[in-house]
Amino acid sequence: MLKNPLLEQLRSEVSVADKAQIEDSFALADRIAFLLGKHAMSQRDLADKLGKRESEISKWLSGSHNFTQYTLTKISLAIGERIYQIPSEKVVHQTVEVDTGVASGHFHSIINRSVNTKGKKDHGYSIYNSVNCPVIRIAKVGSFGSVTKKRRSYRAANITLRDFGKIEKASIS
Amino acid sequence: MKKKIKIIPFEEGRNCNTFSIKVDDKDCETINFFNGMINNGGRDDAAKFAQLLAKIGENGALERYLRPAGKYGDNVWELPDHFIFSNPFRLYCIRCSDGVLILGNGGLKTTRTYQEDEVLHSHVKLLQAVSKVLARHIRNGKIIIDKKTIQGSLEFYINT
Repeated sequence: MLKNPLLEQLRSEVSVADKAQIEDSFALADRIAFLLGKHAMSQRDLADKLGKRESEISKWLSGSHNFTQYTLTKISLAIGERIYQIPSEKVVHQTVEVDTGVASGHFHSIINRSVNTKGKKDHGYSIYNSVNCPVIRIAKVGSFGSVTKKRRSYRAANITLRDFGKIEKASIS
Repeated sequence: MKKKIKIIPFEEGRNCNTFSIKVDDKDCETINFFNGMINNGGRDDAAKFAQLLAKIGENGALERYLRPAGKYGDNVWELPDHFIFSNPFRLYCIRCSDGVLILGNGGLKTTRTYQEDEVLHSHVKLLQAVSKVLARHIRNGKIIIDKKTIQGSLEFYINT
């Protein structure tokens, strides 16, 4: 491929950080443009939803804009789909088997309200102790049906933290 | 005044090839732009500009990556002011398609509009004149834009 020697020399002087900034700014602009197309929205529609001028949306899509996280969130909400996903290291992706023999009748509550750090329900289950602290989290790894079945086999009960310690040790594979 | 124009290949990219212009067999206009930046203490910005052009070569010269610079319909655009630049340098170009971008010259924009700056105005006027002839040659088949290439008589004269 034909490359200009002067420009190649200059490119070799660009810092890794600046290269990454350029890559990311174009990637974000391309992603927003893609989502607008996917949701059959025009730049005008997005501008109207956000109370902005169309020229500003045009600038956003040029790949030259330095987005704030606030703006990205507002754009996501206006389009109805997230622009980016942040991988969470807090979500448990490990199969957790609970020994029903030990656990039966001891859980304070098993609540289907597991929320990962991205704020989305992930269909896992958290087991809470009497002071409402999650002790064991059952991530949905297998089929949803089997998890539901397990959930139904437990009854709410008060339990001490020491008991939960035993359950955790016995049940997490 | 009559000027001889030659369109020359500048760089190749995955989705867009860039071309530049020689006026009266002098130096390439785009190289003049980069040398001008470097000589005016803008080497850092010149390097970022070069990186930006590489990105456009990779992705294609999509309309939304550029900003209209000249008058409506003259097909003269400018590379937008990227937030990583330290100073508002402008590079003017003719966008023939997503795959063909003809780069011209530019410089540091210190006025509100390019018309207020004699040098920038002259660069835009040159591209407007080139674009006008190009459009005529494309219409009558003397020049063909095909994907990433320009074929045909790439030497012609313009009146400025």
